[in-house]
Amino acid sequence: MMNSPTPHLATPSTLAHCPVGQHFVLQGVKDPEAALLLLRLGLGEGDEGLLLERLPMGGPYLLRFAQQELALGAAMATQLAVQVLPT
Amino acid sequence: MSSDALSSATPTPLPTIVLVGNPNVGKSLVLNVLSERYAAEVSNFPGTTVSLSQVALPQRGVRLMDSPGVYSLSRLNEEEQVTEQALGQAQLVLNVVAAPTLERDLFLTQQLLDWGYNLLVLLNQSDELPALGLPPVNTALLSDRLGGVPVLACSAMQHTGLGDGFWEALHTALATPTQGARTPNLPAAATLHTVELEEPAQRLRIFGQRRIYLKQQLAGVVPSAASTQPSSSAAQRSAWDKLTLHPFWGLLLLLWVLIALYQVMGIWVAGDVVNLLETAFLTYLQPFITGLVGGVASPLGAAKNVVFTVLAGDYGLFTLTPRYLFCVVAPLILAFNLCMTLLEDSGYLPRLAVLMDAFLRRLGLNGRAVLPFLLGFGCVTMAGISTRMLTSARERTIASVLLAVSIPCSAQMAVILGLMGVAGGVKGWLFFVGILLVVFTGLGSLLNRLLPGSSTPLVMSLPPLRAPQWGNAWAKSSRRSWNFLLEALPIFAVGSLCIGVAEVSGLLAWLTHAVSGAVWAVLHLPAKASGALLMGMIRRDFGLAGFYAMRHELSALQLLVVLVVMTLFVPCSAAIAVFYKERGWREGTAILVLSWVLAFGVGALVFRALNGWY
Repeated sequence: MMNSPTPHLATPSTLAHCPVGQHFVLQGVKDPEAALLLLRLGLGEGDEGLLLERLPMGGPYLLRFAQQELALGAAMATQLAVQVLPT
Repeated sequence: MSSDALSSATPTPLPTIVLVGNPNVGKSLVLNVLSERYAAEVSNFPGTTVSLSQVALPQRGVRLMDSPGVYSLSRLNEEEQVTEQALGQAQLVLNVVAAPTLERDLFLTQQLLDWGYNLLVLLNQSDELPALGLPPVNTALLSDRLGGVPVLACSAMQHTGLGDGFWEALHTALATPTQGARTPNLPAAATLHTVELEEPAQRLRIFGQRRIYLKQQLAGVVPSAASTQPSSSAAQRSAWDKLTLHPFWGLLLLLWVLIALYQVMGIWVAGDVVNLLETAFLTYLQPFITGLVGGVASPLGAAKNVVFTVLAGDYGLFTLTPRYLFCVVAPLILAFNLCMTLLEDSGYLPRLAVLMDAFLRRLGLNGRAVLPFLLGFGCVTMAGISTRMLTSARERTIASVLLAVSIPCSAQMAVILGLMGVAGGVKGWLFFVGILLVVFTGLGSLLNRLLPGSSTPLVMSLPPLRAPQWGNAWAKSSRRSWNFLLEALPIFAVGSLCIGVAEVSGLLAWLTHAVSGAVWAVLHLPAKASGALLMGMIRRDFGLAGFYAMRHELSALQLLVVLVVMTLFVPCSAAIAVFYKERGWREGTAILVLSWVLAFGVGALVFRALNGWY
């Protein structure tokens, strides 16, 4: 499910490693179930998102994409391969 | 399935229009505006509608059916299955989409088109676009990109766009179905349905294909295209949003909400309002009732005392039942439902779900379980049904057990609030809440370790924070409260009659005597308390009502033990039935046995640990 990285993108990583306040491009989702859940919500490969917040003590990640805010459990964040966009 | 009274009076079948859309796009509000009545519950928490509501509108020549909010049709959860069932009855699908989240919402639209449904797309919340800095949606262009499917803009909140023009378009769509543009290279509509529902690998491929096609089709139509460009930042979020989700301030806000709830429920309603109503009942109504029953029963000779005890005695049908239900439970349930509705409609609850996710994950759940638990404080029976919204069977089991044993419903809360003043006040509350929290977390952690599998991660779309509408809040909370009273009244009345008959026949005295020794040995409660415990087997709050009547005869510690035992005790008969239905015989019985063991075990421990210094 992984796309080849485009020249303007930084090193691939997972959402768990993305700094708060950074924009990212979703490169792929490891778990097919998780990929399906995200596709239903409008987040698919190649979509841009913004990491708004990471709650402490293993709490969820808050993302914004396509005018909506989404909370993702910490376990899910490790499933998402992203490329952080340079600021 | 709930149905309007008009439905049964309709002579010829009306064409069914099914409202389908993502959670929180305003389907229920659209239904209420179109039907000009409060036909479906409206709230600001994803997954509120778990069943189908329908209303027949003969004057408009249609039947409208609301369905649960879904993001797709893939049988991934209960809501999707119920929606699929509703679609089976649809002559026309009224697909409600929200203008601010159009890109997300149109995925379902495209799936419905791919499956061959006749659609009318209703673009709701168009009035919210300017506040978000977004341009209006070009409905003609959107209609064109969807292959000619009619698209109408409206604001259900402002009651605009749902007048005669809408009805005209609806009847045209009903009479002349539009094919719409299908995603290219998919199997035929008739087989696609089966492929997407039954073949997970194919489904993922088709979902991806559909998303890519939709993105191409919507270029230049969807206002959100630039929303995540690097120029936007986390600073755009409202201060309230940040506050509700802040790890420290968010918890402080939660504490403030709980204190405010206690002030409203515990002090004003349970104290002032209940006292006022009870005094009025005891001063004016009870003497009238006892006089009337005494007068009617006097010609009965020897049977007079029996009839009087059953109808107007301490636990009489016409004394305890109306006093308890209408003077104690009704005001508290109405206040609880109103508070919950305001929180629900404001969009605070999903944020609470996010905030509690890390804690609930340690119990094998995720943040979504907040809703069943909060609903449990209203009615455990309803909350038991709402555990369906949890993703896995494992989560539903854990949530059901925790609901059954450690969440007191509002009817119980009513009596608990009344009893707590005698059971130690603030000190009593601290012990009571502390004990329940230990049981809740301990049991949850244990189940998380014992049950195979792991919890599913939270995936939740957060609705915007909104000022609740008082009219909607009042309509919803009064309807919920009325439904509860209608359900509780016959059970309580039958229970009251049974206790009355048991009392006059000597059965209650015999049973009380039989278990009083054990009750004293384990819980150190007097013989009279055994009767109330036996009543609690019918309904927990019914038993608590018995203790409420004898509250001045027990010590503060005994009352604390009673409150703990009755909360952990077996739920009411309706809740038991729901747990058996939802979780099956094995789990249902296990929940029942566990609640008994825990209730008496923890009660005994509390008495022994606190005896002498509480």
